[in-house]
Amino acid sequence: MIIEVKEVSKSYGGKKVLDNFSLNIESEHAYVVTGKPGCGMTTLVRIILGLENPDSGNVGLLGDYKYPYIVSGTVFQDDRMVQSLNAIDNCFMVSSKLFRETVTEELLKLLPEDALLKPVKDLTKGQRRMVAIARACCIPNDVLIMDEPFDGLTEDERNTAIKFIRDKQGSGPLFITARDIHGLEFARIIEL
Amino acid sequence: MIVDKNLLEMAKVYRMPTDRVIKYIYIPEIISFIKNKFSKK
Repeated sequence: MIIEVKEVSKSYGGKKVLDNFSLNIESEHAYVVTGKPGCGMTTLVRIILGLENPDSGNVGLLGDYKYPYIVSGTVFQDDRMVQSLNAIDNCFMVSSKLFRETVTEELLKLLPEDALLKPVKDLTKGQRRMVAIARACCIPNDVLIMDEPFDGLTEDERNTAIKFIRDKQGSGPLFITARDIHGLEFARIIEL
Repeated sequence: MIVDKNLLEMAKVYRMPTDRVIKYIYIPEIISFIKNKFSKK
């Protein structure tokens, strides 16, 4: 499976944030898009996810693919969780194909046991980020797309998260945006 | 709007089933909204 990003351009208020950007996102490959804040990384993610339309160019699926859409395990730039629910419920809720036991097992690889049953509003920023990463990796997905997943993590948490994501990538592509690329040298680095 | 549009966008991207969107997003958000409203009075 290949996600083809073809000659995509996007402007906001006269400022061009993406200019003729092209990339083929292929199975089993990892990509890290990096750049300065405001360089269009989040816009690119939103265009790939189909949440925004480019001014020109397009995003399409290439190859033998039996569904008209892809399921993306997504980490948004903000956490996007139901604050009153705990980590397990925030992950479990997104797919009817998940079991609480599986979700708990995955979360325990990233968080201490006592963090799992608190409402996520009572977790630290780094812990919430870990929940967002676990949620993306738990669901049966065709691709992992993560917008600044390591933002707010300590060095140890970052290393744990990178290892977890690589273990969970499976045969699909992995697409990450990150201003700080250390520890991500395994991927193809693309500067925006 | 009571329910955060970013959460609904997340549900769309994850292709969350409608019954789960109601149970896990609308109902908890509405309960939080009501609790906040009463606690402020």
